Amino acid sequence: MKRKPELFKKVLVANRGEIAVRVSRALKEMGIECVCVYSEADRLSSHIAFADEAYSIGPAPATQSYLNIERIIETAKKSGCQAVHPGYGFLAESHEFARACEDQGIVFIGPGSKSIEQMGFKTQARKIMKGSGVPVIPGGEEPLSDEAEAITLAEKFGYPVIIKASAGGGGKGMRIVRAAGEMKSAFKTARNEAESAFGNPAIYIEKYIDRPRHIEVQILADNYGSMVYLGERECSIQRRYQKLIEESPSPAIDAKKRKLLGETALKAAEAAGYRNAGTVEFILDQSGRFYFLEVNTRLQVEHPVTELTTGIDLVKEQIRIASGFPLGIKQKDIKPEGSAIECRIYAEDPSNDFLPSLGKISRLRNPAGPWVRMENYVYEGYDVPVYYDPLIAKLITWGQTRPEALARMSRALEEYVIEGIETTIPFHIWVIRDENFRKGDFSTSYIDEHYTGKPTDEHRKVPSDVALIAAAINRVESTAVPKKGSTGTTNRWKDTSRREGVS
Amino acid sequence: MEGYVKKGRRVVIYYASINGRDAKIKIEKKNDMYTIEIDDRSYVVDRQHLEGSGALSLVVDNKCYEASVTRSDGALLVCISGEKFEVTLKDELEYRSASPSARHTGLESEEIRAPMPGVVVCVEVEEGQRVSAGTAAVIVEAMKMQNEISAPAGGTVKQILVREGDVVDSRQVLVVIDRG
Repeated sequence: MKRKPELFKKVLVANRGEIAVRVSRALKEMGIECVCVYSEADRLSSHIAFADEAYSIGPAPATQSYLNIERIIETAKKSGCQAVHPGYGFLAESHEFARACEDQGIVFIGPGSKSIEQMGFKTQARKIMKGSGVPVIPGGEEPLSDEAEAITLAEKFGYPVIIKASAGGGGKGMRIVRAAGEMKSAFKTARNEAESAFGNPAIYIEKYIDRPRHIEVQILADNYGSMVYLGERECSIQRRYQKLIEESPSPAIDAKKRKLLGETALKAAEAAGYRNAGTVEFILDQSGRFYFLEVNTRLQVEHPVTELTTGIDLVKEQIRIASGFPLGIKQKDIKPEGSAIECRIYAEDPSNDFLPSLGKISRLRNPAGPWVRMENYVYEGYDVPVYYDPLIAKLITWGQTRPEALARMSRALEEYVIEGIETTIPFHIWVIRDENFRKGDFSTSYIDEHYTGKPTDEHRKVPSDVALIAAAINRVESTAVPKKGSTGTTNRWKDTSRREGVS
Repeated sequence: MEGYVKKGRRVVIYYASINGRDAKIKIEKKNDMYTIEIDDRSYVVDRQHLEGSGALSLVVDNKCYEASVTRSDGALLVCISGEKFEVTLKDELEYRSASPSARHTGLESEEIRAPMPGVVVCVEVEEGQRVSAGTAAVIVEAMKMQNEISAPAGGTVKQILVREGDVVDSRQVLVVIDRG
């Protein structure tokens, strides 16, 4: 689209949670009015408090609210927005949504609908990359018609193989198959998941690379053919293909490989006719060879680690590019510094197979201090809703070196208090203290190989006697939690000491 | 009534277990300070309630900690600096009455429960079907992920209590397995 470069006056953020807050902050800093939308389940979500205007867009289920294209476009027009920022998830990779925006004269802050469509359909993306000389993993590029076809292909590539959703990402609809006998159930669950998560049951199969690392490259491309890469992110700490910890730079990449990866990412972006911010994902096998995985045509959850090492605000860059400004930075000026790491705080119980943990946050203390960044939307008293992604916050730290960034992360995690629900904080504390992780010796199988859900003594810093002291005092005094404003500490002691026989 | 009188002061004793370790705790309060003995070690503890939060500020022999304690199924869950501990405490009476054999339940049926709230996507077993431990019984979708809920032990499916599309609560019984 040709338009004279001029910053938008008003932008709608078509998302919720921490990313809606993140985008609102960038808009405010740029002097752009921020419009947010919310479902009936999100009236008390804090992304509303960070916006200038808020519009209700329907019932709690995402399909009736945050995925309702018509309603969101109507809201953007009604509120006088010139552009829409989709965040990540929901409609961020919907080419229908991007096209609907284009048709209605609203700027979609992201790539064009055609790139999204091409890159979103993984089999098509692979074909384009293969044709442009970008290395890809051996695999069937056509969607599978049935289980028998899956078995034939699996035998051709050799087990293990992996089934993936053609329209998907984020681990939904993915299954590893190690023998023909496992194909039936994997085929079925992958299809079901693909259907329910993306509304498209198409799945495909490829050779599974054992113990790879997941490395991705952040790129920025303007509307006039200029492109840059902003270094890589290491995202190998994953569970069920959901990333939990990301860092930049990767401990497995040296300067020479970094340049090669960056240039390959730009080649991929060029092949896709890409513009705006995007991420080219690769997998790195144990011998150091890398293969194209996919292009994420949106802002990533883990974008802050790149922001901290490069000093570039990616959301503002997205908005500037979408406003029609040319890229203000050249490749030679991008010199990432230090080391940044992000821990994703999910409402999940790491001691119970990471099952979702729902409920009210009864106590919250966010970490702070030097080089600690919080991306957050929850507050004390907030009820985490069942309808959406369980990501409640992201904690990011920076250091001049990787050990310094890790020490800061460890310190920040120890300060972090979330009560009332289970979170991934204990998991992160465990990982940051783990010798393999500290040495940079890990792959995407790390959690399966090392994490049992139960912290061992070598990963603990708090003596167990202190826990016994806390438990004994709690029992001897009272089980009641003091209410706000109550002054009854002494009396409570008396009451319970009388009951328990201590005086 | 717990405890006994020692030099005019009450002392409470608990038998504790934490991460597979057993310990005996003696707790006594003097002049607003606690003296707590755990096995052969003695600690002087100053505790304050952080008003409004339910958390405890502990200064244990001048080392600082902040702890939260919650109750769950008879155990106390203690969280200190992001580390979690599960503690069970028994007073003298509870300790004496809990013989190890009393805990042994010769359960004849086993319930498969929903580990979290969600929607039943699919029931994978039928009544009367033989299953082994680990057999996927029900698939529940929560927060966009499908979770396979499998049989904790082998047996015969006695009863199926949910159907595809049902909304289930955490801990709701989905399937009953007869272990006979």
